[in-house]
Amino acid sequence: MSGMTKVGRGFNGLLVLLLALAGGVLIALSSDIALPVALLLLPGLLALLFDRSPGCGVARAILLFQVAACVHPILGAWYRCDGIDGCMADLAAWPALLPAWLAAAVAWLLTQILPLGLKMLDDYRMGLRRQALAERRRSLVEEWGLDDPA
Amino acid sequence: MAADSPLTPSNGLIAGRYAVDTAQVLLDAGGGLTAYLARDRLAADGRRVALAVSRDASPRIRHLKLLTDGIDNLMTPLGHGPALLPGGRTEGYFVICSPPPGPPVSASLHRWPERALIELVLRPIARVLEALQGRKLTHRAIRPNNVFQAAPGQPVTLGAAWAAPAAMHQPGVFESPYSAMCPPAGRGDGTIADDVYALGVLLLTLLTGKIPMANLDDTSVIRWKLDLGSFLALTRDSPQSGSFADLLHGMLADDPDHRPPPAQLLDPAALRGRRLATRPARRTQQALMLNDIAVYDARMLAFALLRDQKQSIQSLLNGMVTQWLRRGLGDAGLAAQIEDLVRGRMSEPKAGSRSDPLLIMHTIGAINPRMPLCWRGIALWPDALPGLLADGIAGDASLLVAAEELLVNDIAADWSVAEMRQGSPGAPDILAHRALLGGPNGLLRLFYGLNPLLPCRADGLTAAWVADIPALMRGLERNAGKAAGSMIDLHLSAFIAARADRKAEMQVTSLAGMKNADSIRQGELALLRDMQARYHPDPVPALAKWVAGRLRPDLARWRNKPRREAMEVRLEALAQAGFLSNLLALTDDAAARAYDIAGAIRAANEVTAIDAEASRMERSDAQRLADAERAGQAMVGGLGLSVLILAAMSVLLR
Repeated sequence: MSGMTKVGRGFNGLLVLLLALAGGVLIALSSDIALPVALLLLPGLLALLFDRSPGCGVARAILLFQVAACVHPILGAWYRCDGIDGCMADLAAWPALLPAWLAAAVAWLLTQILPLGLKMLDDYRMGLRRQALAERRRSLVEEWGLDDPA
Repeated sequence: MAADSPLTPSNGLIAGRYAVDTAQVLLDAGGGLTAYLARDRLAADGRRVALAVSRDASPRIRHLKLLTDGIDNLMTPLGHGPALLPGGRTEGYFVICSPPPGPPVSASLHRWPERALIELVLRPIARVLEALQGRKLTHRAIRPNNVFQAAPGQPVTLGAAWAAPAAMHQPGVFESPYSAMCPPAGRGDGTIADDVYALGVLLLTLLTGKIPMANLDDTSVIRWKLDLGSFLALTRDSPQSGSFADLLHGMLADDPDHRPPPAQLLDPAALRGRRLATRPARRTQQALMLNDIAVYDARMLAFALLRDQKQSIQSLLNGMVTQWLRRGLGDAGLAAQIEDLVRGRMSEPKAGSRSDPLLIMHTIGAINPRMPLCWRGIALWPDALPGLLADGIAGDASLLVAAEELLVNDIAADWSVAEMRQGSPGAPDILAHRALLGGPNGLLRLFYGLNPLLPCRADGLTAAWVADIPALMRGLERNAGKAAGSMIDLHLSAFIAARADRKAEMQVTSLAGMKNADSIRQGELALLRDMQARYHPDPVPALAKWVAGRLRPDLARWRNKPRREAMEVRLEALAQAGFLSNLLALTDDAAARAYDIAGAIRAANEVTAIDAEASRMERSDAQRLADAERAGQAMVGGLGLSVLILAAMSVLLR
């Protein structure tokens, strides 16, 4: 996080601002469309607001998972609904919301578990390296009679 | 070098042919020295005499070298070398001589007729002395217990005089007063005239059947001789015929120049006409009491001045002596000469502690030019300085101090030059050895240099007769098991400097100047290595084992442990082989040592790098966690994007 540059932080801020503007425009022009969309993307939008990870990696992953999960409900609503209100009502119903929110939950869960897994793998690799180094050091100290500070 | 040395043992035989039987002591054959039976393995009649040499008194090496062929009626030296002493544990040095024909004449001292004396004693011994004189040698051991006769009517044989310093065992009565007043080791080789004097006393002894002045101590004998003259003092109570008296008068002359040479003794009749008119010494009725001696003439004055330096100096400085010389003796010339010497002493009050003895020395020389060198109450002939030094080293502290002062300051040269006297021809060249004084332990070096047959006096070497470097290596080999720290002590370093070559001397000198213990150790080992290489080609396993122990600190410097352990094994193997050069070459391999040091540096650098990496790994935990989070989130994002693309594709391609 500390490695993020000023340009990166500015870009993130600009992204949030543009999304907020887009959201605001959508709400202003068509509040009946904006509400279901906001409901579908609610976890991702909330994550976007509160995510402090560099590049908003967690929010980005949640949003991508949510968007992927929203493709089929939106398509279904587009072809099967009866008017825009009916479409939006379908989208705001639990059968559409639940997969999107579950996808968000899975994404969040993956962003928590996968780093831990990677860290454990790295720890294992480090352990092997440390062991090899210790072995080499011991053999050098023994062979050359070097003073062992340890 | 070692093979030609008489000091190299050859199967326990001296000179490769003489075996000493120390179980059979020959009581009367040594003329006062201990004598054993020796056998010549190469001769049918192999009976010989082995004369034991004292560890403190050098045999006469010039005589041993020059008397290579036999002389009739003389126990000539046949060989010399070390052999085991009785008990078989310690080694002694022996001079092998031809055997005496019979008992010494002292065994049954009786009156000899004058004619027998001339035919059986005078002429045979004169021939011996003439032969010795032809080789520029002297005998200096003519006394009744060193003259042997096979049977009555047979010519006598002169005993050996080679196993001890010249005249060392001569009774004072058989020496001229100027030799008798010296300590036994300070009499020197002298001249053939001294032998003529001793022969004269021997003739007198055999003529009268008793040793003259036998009831007097040496000091009394000297005083009597100086007071009356030797002839009168010795013949006071013994009547002789006129011709024999003339003969003895010449032989016993106090002035050596007045004694007949050996060649003239062969024809005693001719000596009658030779009688030299000597001016009687100037005497006075008014005695000068000096150092408890009543002085009536100049000769006694010189002797009295020798006795006590402190009182003598006082007597000289307060003018008592010169006053007596002028008024009592009437010798104003001598008095003026002494006053000049005293004035010289007074004008140089800061001449140091040697000014008083120098004044006494020159004064005595001026009063009686026949006197020996007199230094701090000790009279000596300069050619005896090696023997005197040996006596001093053996324990006589006063002799040692005097010898040191005389040698260090070259007083003898000053005395000889001042009084126009020289030592006997062929005397030991002290000047050639004086360079040894320049090094550390200079006096000890000089002792070993001037007495080349005397053994090393270092602790632990007293059981063997160690007189050269091969013998020293053998001795060190024997003692290596008992050696603790350093092996080259004071005596050994002086011995090596004096008896080894110039390179070894320089090594010893630089060793003495070293302060660092490690440098001393390395210098010592290098010296032993070089000595083995040059003098003792045989292996010395015990010494090598000791050297290997001393080399362990060098091995400990090798950083590579496997190589070090391999070198230790190799060192043990080389020590058993017994060649020091191989041992030192193992640890002195500069290229291998540099390779080892470079390897140690590389290893240390590698360990440092390992430690740094391990430290970095310890510190990188948080960073790695952050990296894992970033990577995990990116991977989840990538997965989400992939799912989105698949969903979009599935819709678009439906």
